[in-house]
Amino acid sequence: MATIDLMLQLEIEQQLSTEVSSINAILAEAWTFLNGGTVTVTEIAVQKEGGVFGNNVATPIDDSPNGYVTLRMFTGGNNEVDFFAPSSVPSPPVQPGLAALLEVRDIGFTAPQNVLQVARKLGAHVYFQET
Amino acid sequence: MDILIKGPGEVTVCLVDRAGKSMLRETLRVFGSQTVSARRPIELELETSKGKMRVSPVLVFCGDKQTVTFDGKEPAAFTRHRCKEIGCTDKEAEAAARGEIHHLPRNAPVRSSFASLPRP
Repeated sequence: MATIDLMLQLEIEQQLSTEVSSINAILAEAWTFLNGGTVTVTEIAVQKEGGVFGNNVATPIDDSPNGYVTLRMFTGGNNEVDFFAPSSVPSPPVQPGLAALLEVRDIGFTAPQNVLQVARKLGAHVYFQET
Repeated sequence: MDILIKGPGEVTVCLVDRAGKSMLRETLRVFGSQTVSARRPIELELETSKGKMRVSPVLVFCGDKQTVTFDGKEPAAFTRHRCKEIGCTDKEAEAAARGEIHHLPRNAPVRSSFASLPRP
């Protein structure tokens, strides 16, 4: 059976008004359906730019420097195998690969006053092969 | 509310207050196969120093190969309904449904497009 090279990429760029005092956590997902073959993850990575800042302060107070990224590989029923970023070596094979879901998370903040500024960009990608 | 995206490309959504002023701007870029999908759950109430603020989502930009829904509904229809729910006037609700809002100031350099690249 032929090997198919696949990719999933997801990026969230967020900017909030300084009137907002509670910054919600980020959860975003991207997915693709597969053909039930054997799947090997070859690379999974995450990167982040910016973050949550105090008002008029240049240094981020964000304590989640990279966000958190998981590739959820669904293999039928309630079964799934999860892969966590970062990794750039081939994973053990997973079978049958029915769907691949890239999940990106970043934390939220709450302040008693509107003293937060938010400008953050969070990106993740996964490269994998289905045979 | 769930923002559901089908197809690769870039989608920009803002959350606006009853005056049509943007409180949050998000751009979601998704790439992969032609059948790639993405989901972004988002709260339609924001906490401010003056208390809770109800907001409406507005679809500002969507790629040619993409379809977007808000909670399974067509974005303009959802925005029109939600804007009226949070107290926008009919005129503001119609403008928001068309993606016309008061944007947050941009604080990042604008990216080049292919058309803007200087030719040798």
